Amino acid sequence: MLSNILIIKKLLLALFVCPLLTFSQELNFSALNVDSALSQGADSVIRHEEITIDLSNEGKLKTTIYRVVTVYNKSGLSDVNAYAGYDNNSKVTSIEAVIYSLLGEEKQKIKKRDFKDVSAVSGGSLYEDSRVLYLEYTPTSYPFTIRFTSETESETTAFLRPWMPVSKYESGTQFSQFTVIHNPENTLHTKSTNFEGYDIVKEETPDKTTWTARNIAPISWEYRSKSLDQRVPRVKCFFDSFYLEGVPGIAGNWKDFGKWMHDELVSDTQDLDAQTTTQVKNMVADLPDDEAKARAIYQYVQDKVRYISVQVEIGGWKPMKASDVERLSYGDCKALSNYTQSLLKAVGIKSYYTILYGDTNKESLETDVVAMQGNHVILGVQLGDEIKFLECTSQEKPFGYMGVFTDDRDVLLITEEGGELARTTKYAQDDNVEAIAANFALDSLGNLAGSISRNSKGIYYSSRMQLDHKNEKDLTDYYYNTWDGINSLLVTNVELKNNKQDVFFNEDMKFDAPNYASKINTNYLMRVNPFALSRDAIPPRYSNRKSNFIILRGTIEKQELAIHIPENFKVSSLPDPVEISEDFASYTVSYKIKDGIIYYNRILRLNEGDYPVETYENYREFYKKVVRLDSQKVLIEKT
Amino acid sequence: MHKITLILFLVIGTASLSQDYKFGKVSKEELKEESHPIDPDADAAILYREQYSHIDYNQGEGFLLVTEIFERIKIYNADGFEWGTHEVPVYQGSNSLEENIFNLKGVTYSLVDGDIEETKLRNDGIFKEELSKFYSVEKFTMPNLKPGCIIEYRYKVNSPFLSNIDEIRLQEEIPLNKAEVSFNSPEWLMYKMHRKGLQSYTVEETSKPSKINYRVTTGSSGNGFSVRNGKVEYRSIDYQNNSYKISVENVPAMQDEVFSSNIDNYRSAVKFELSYTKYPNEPIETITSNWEAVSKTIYDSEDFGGQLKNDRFFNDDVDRLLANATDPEEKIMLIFEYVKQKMNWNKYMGIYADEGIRSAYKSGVGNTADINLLLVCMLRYAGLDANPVILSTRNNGIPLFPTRNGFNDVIAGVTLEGTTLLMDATRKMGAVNLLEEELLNWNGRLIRENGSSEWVNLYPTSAAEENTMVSAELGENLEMTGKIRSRFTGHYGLSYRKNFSGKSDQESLEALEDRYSSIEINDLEIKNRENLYEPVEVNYGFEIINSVEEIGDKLYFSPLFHLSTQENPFKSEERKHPVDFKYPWKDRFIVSIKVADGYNVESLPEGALVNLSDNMGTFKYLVSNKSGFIQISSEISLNTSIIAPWLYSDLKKFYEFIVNKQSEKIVLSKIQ
Repeated sequence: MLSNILIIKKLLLALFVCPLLTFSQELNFSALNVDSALSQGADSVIRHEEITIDLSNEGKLKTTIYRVVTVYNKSGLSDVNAYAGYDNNSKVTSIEAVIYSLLGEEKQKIKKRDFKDVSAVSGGSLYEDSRVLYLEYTPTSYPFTIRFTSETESETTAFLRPWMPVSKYESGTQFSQFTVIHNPENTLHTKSTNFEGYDIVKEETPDKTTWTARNIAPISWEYRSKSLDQRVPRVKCFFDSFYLEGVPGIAGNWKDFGKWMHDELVSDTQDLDAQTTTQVKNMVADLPDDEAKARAIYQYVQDKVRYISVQVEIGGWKPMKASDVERLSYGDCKALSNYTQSLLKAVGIKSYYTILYGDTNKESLETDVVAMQGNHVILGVQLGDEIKFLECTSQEKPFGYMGVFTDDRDVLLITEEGGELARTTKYAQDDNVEAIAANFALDSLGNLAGSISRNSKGIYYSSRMQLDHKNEKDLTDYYYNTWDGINSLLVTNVELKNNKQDVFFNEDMKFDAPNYASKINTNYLMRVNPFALSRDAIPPRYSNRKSNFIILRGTIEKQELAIHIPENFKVSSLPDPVEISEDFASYTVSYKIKDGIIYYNRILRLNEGDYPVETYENYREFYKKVVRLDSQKVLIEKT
Repeated sequence: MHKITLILFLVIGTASLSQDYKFGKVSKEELKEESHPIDPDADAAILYREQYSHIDYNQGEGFLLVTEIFERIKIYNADGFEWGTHEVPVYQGSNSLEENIFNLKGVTYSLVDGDIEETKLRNDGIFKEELSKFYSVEKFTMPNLKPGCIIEYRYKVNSPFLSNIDEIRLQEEIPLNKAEVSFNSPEWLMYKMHRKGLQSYTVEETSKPSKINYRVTTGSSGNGFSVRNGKVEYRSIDYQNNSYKISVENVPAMQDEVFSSNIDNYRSAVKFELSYTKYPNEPIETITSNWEAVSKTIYDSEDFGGQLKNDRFFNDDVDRLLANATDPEEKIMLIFEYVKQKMNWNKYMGIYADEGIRSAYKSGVGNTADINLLLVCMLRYAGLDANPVILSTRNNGIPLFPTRNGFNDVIAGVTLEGTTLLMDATRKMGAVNLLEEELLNWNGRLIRENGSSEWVNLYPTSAAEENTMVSAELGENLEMTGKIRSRFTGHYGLSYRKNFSGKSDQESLEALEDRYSSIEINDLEIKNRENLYEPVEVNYGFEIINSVEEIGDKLYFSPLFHLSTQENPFKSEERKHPVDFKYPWKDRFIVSIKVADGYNVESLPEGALVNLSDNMGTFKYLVSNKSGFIQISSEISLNTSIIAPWLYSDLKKFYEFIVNKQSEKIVLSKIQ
């Protein structure tokens, strides 16, 4: 009996394997057959990729992946992407990998049961109900070729994977094909970017669209360049309707989409009881206007809750109930924004659950792709004609302060009437100022001592606010690391002023730098600016840079110093003042001496923008000059 | 100062006596406390930690380790909220043995208008994440945390794993005011207690008579599956119950520091290790007792020593390999390189073979034990005195107590003319006596075939060296250009190989420019990247950015350019833990600078010689000027891997001196 079952199993296996074998014969799996234009300097080459997403079955998404990758070294191993995620509403129906030797002979087959099955709770999250099957493979030699196939089924059609024929730096692509199969009544919308200069063919029928890319040479990461998906071809697909874990949703336009989100995901979670609402009303009753009330409520939330990420309901898209946040005093970005909104609603202040990408690269929602997007939620509060955005996961950000994680990008407001696009606060160059003012005295032994005051505004504020939390040792260590160009620095009497109302941060301290000036016979040679940019600030040299460079935010860094020269010493010559001005930046420095005091004034401005690759060498030269000028020295001579 | 601390401790000690350490008995005084009385910077503090572990007998299941945990934690501010989330690892063994966590209760207490408000932990705050087949984590996060609140939680864990008990921490990253740990076991299971850390604490050992009641069915007959006409009887066994009680108070918070090895090495903790079992009417079975016994137990295991008996399968290959080899060094090298080249490490570490060396040899893939036990086996086959050396990686901490679990990796050692050569065939870039930095952790235990064992030092005795020659020239346009030849040995060479292997010339050049950030490099040549037994040679031409300063009619520059130590890595004023450099090292630079025509050398830095105490380090700096060439020789050597914290301020000053000396300027003046 048992042996009969085994035989049947073997037969089934044989039947199953045969079609795959015929398929694979079309391609030569030998690593020797790769065009050197694709493999030159590459960690891996995608030899043949076919990804199909099939939505022909209403409410179901079937994804099949067939991918053959030749891997040249350890870094290339991750380009295989041999994994498939699953959760309560999706499953992996098949997954397999086959390894081929250099010459294309089959060496090893890895079946589904040999894939590792682990939880996929992402860092920073306490719990998510997602898991992943992944291939754990130890290569025995390079290069080798791997064929990965998988098929997954999901009840979520809201997130359609974008197609990027190049998905990694240092990876070439010989052939990549993407197919979308759908019900012809359901119109496919697409957005294609960065196609210029690539061999990409699109074929369309009413129920099927296919893109094919051929022969793409690897590209490299470059300092200050745009992110990979803004540099290489990409297709995003979306439909007017979708399913989110079985729940039907409407897209089409932002208004309808937002209305759906509001009704399905948000509205029934705002369930604060009468006692809580009365309490909030009482709390702000005596405050003069909406802004004061909103500030008080934001402060209340910041004092009450903490950030804990638990992603369970509807793929992590439905916020936890406001009443649960009230009871538990924790939640994730959705829960805390929704809770804050409920409190504001109780006192009659209008606010919007706001969806966006939280990211330091200012990633905007793609306003022409009406679909589920974003990875973060904040709250937009309507105050008169203005909307102030609140980061509800932070226990310390000032009211309305965004910082680099959420500033200056397109976002979606979810209102009762529907969705509406908006843009978050921008920090312009004049807002982003870091100013150091210092008063120093050099003594006759070459020691420099005095007091410093540093003031930070705009985006600089966000990197200072954490200083409040440091103990004395960590705080002084922080200054020693910040001003690491000063040997044996001693910082004492640090006073921090965090002005949350006007959003600036002030640091005052005493400063001692023994042996700061180097002794030359009886004279001293002294770098006037202890805070000079070090040579590490010079951008890296590229012999053949390919991409533009971007400055994401304009900034101003000022240093104003007064240095008293010891008695019986003099300064006979000072460096000349300098002004450099480029499109992307400018720099001025000047020196004066009066009554034995050197006055130093230096300003470095970086201008926001996207600058052509040809300018990059200027940008580097500019920094070289700044580093040199910043560390100019004066000779202090004994009289 | 010491007296004051003592008095402070006493006062607090007395104050804490009035506290009630029962679950639920949180006092208003505790809730009102705004900062920790001894460590006002603390974000939270463990007010009380109780762990009661006991081994119980359950009929049908046998012995079970029950651990009851109770903690009371004070949270002073929002930064302390992370202490409101806890994770308890839960293991599942292979043959349906598994740990269970139960009776989890948690309450958050805070003061609201002078009254104590309690919020209970409910199921929506408890999560179980299955990480793998063998390992889950039970997580819970406490509700309604506020600055000033106190949380309490307790739970029990049942574990069938009696010989592997997690370390019990008596010190955390926040202050711990009071902990009481008790551990009870019946006389049949003898445990040994190991201590770690600097904190003093009291231990009370007692032994009390106790009794186990159990049920037997007598007079049964049957086919082995069912019992017929059995008579149930209740019996009992008397035994001695051994118990340890540990109590500790006012343990300061742990602090992390740069250049430290694993911070856990310094944490105060106790660990209970099953040393032998003596069941009624059975002989004693020793599990662990001392390093010798631990080593022997490991060796006797099928997945360790058992593997070393397993040789025939490679005989032909090794015979072929050694066909022309005569002296032992040559044989060692041939076998080591063969295993390194043939075997591929699957990134799993362990002292026990996973695949077994035979099948690992066939597939070419294995864990560290598969690969290095194979290496030992082959070396033995070749007639060499080869033995496995078990060790604990830096990440795993120093093995302070004789326990099997203290070791997590194995390498090979060959004793030749009285010295032991260490080898790890899992890393392609390793060489004989050149181990990964992660493995340089105190001592390893070499275990011989007859079961005897001894410590071998894992720290390298020879220094990693950099020898660099620079010939530079100051051009008329005040540009400093020149050529550099560097040789790197030991771990310096290894680090170069790791960073530059597989890089194209252009990538290497960019990486090197990035490392030094102040030079532009041309004609880069890196030699011996693949030849592991020769120093890595790095030769290049350079131009230094902004190296020369012109003030008036004089030129100023520091002579070591990008090679100088520009920053003191030791910035803090104090140090608690030893400084760990991992290996001794020596940096030697010889720089020769041709002075531009039309300039005179006006002044040169003075030479210097500084020694760190006990010959632990030396800095030599020599400057001379001969016929238009300035010669500088700088040598820094650190002769030890570890420097004790009480020598920290000397070390800091040593570096300060180096940074200052190397930054001193050469002054040239224009010939009028």
